[in-house]
Amino acid sequence: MNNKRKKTLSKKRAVKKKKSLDRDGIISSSARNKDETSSSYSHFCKITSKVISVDEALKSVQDESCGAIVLFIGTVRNYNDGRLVNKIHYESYVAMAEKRIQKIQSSIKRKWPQVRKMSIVHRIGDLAVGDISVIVCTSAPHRAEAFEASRYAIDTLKQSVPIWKMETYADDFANWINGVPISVDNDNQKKKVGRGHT
Amino acid sequence: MVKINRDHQKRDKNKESIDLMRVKDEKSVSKWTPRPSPGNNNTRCLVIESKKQQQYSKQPTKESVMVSVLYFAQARIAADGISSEAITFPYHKTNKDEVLRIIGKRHPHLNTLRKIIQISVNCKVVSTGETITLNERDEIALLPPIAGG
Repeated sequence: MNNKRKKTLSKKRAVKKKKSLDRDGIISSSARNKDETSSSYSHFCKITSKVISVDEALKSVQDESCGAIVLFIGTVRNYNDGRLVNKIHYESYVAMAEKRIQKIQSSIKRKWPQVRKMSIVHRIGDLAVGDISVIVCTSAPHRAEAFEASRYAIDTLKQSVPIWKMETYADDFANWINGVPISVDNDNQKKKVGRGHT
Repeated sequence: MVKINRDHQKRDKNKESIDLMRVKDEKSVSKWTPRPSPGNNNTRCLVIESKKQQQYSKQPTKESVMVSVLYFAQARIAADGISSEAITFPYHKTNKDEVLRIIGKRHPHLNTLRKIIQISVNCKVVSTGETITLNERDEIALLPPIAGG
């Protein structure tokens, strides 16, 4: 008897939860069938020396259940620190960079479970002024999560992904950009935090 | 838990004697482990070793390990433009500062960057003060401050 009661109660709870989510418009038609909002999350990342295609990035995140796509494009600026920039050379530790980007993407799944698809592509090699250096493309049912997740992705990328750039100025002088120290892996930080609390 | 190895050393049928040892707990193992003494080579005995002792004896006594070191950005320029090379490190517990000191001996220009460079072992960043043990074929990378995007 008790078991049966428990089962019916949990079923009722699940239905209630689903209904409340439905009202907020969080559950999509495809997710309704699967009964899970986060199961359909997919992500893609690449470090490439080829020209980044905006169309491809857009297509890769399009989804029928999404009403919002946020596309961030980082391009090469023609000045920095009051100097005219001619070109930028990007260099990366590709194996680690891709791992780090995947980490960002899986943390997005945890922070914004509504986000459906996410693509991050970074270019390396020699880039001229105006060229696209990085693309972050996020799709979600509503714009708020898409904006927040994209912002988080590009901000975290700048802090944690091993990519370097060397600017060449109008007077042919070249300089490695003084960036930020690469962040320590999250796993270690978590352990430290855990120790601090206990 | 306890494994039994048979030590067949120069069997002499006439003098063959067997020491059977049935040991239940590890404390008595360490006490009773028979070792073939020089004068008693003909004895076939059951050598019982505890798990810890076995692990210890299996490990080859390494003194150094060969790891590949990758240089990026400013570090690559300071390392005479080399992007990767194999370097021998002592096989013991070490840390970021010691690794950089050893690499700095090969490429003195790197010493000026030592304060700003971070290192990673197999794509994992080593934090300051963290103790690491390098293994054969590990991949160390020298990472100056990053500037992606």
